[in-house]
Amino acid sequence: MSGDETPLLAARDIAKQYGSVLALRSADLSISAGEIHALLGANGAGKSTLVKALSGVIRPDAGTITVSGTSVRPSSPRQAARLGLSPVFQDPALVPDLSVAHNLRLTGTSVEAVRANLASMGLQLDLRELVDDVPLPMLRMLDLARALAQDPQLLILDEITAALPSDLAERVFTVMRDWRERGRSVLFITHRLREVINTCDRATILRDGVNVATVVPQEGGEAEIVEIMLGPEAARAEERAAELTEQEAPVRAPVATATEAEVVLEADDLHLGSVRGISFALHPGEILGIAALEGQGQDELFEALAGQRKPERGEIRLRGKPLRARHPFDAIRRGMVLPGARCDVSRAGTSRRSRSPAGSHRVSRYSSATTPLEASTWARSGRCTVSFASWPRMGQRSSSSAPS
Amino acid sequence: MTSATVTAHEYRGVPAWRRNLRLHGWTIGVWLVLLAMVPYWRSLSQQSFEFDIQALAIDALPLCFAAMAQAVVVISGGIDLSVGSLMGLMNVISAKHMIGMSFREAILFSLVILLLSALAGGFTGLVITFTRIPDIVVTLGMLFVWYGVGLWVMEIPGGGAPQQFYDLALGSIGSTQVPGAMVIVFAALVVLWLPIRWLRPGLSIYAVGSNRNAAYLSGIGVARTRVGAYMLGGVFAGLAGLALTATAGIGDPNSGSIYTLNSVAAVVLGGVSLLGGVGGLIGPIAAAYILTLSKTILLIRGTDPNYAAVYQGILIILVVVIGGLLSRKTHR
Repeated sequence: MSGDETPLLAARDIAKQYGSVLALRSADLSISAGEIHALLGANGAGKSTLVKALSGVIRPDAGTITVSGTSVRPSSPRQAARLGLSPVFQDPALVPDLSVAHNLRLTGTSVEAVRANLASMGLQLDLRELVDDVPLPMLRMLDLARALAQDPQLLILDEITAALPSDLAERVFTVMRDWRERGRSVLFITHRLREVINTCDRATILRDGVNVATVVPQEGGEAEIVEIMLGPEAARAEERAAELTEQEAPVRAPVATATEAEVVLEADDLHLGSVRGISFALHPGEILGIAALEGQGQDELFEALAGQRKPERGEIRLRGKPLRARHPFDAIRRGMVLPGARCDVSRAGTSRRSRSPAGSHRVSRYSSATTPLEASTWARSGRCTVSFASWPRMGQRSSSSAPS
Repeated sequence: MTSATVTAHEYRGVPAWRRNLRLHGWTIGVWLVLLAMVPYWRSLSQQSFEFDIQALAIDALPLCFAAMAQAVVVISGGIDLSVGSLMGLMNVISAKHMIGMSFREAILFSLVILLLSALAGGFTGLVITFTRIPDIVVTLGMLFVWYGVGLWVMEIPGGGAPQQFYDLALGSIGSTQVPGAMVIVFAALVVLWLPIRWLRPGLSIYAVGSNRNAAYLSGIGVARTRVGAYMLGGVFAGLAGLALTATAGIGDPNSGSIYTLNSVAAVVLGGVSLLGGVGGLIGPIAAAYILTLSKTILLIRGTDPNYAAVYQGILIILVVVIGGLLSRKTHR
């Protein structure tokens, strides 16, 4: 513990193993009163596990947690709340089949306080609504309002902004700053480094279940954070990729340059759900990054590419021939593969590829959710990737899937 | 069903009528189906209305309680295949001991029966939450256990209870024509379920059935709640067993066997989602009457009992399909 000031929260040597997976090796975290502290790390670095340990969802295998100098062992979210630690988890902790008001009664939260908190964020919600009927961004704000109503010493926000449009994310930052002004603290987890630099006083960076550094984000900037987050090895690989990019190599593999005219994957004026007129063309070895806020149609786009859903209008063409998939099997047979959800990307290189048909089937040429490193390897073998990833740095070529 | 492109602050919400339709539509619908069956039933029947209602109430009494037992467990996200054999066990225990008792003693002994069945249900719940074996497997095992214990208690049908005990279920309330069997069902609903329905214990049962993870993150003791639901289910199963004693007059170790699947049918028909978290007990009660009444109607019409089962099965599927289509429309 630094200096003579006792930190509000200090976690030391926290370790947690799930089966054979070591989620946290030995993580330290120290948060002072009145600061906004970021917790950063690549997917699988152990951020959420640490948050769960702090909020009593899981019991760490080892390590100590102290709140204002007193050693604590939160064994349930309820108990953590009593200790002044209120988390907003990555997934809404609201029961879908109950009304909002019943959910609040369930957690013993004051309805008045929640209503006031929502109002101060400029939001209105009929608390008799069924949670299932309320859109996700609103649920995140409700989660936040509920956590605030417990008047915590430390507000823990685990990727709350991931599901929020920018105007609502701004309101979250306002709340965080307000909270700091009152001398309370915020632990903030996000993948968006811009948000960290703009809002956070300090940042603890996790890598492979160990805290590797605590930095002041405004000083080092994004570059420093990324380097620490990914570690020397990955950073070197990124560097190598960057060098190659300068030589125009990984984005367009050598095989491809010869047959520049050849188009492998083509979307022509796709309409589906909130997708309104997306067109793009991919050449062999290209990586196409899709950048969008939550719910701008990227899910539908990928589902259409993977043959899970039929576009309402427009066409997907593979090597010039239309893809009319009625079942993902049709798409896979033609070489379109959508690997599993991004949440288990952590050790992507090994685990995920072995599970997805991408590695096991020779026919798979394109993968549509993948890490940059994986994608560039993929690209060098002359295959294409359409990628949507909440990774700090995306491929060089990006197209927005937002309708406007 | 939420459109992700809606930004939250301009969110106007779902109209109250649509929400209420979603919450209560099925229950109201199933009661309307029951009411709609009454004129047809009356047109076939030769008996007086009072006689018919009395007969229906008595006929349906064990199934009503079995449906309530099943409903509580299914709402909590489980399923209880041992409902029938547990009520059979309570039937034989009560009939074996009540035969020589006075009415007062029989009533007190009924409380013992309810305590026993609550413990039995709680035991099932504990086995499920401790071992983490799926509900359907554990309760399937308990089906055989309770059945075996029942045979051990009473090998061949026999026993009985004091006449006044029978009269509770077979009689009417005072000088009115209101069937006692119907009053008992609603009294149990009001006393055992409604008080907790909107308080933390009841909401916890719904929460655990709706989304176990969200419930846990909301600070609910998930295992405790699930065991509680099985205990409450056990109480209703005990009432169902006593109802068998009162309506059949004797104990029979095989008497409960048809009620397990009938209770599941009543729960499904009554608007409780087998996925948990949705529905109530009032719908399944109506469904229990519908299932009993449809059997009566087919009997009056002289339908071959074997075909009658076919019609009942088709009825269940039809109602659930139509209900599903209607509710999908209102959810848009």
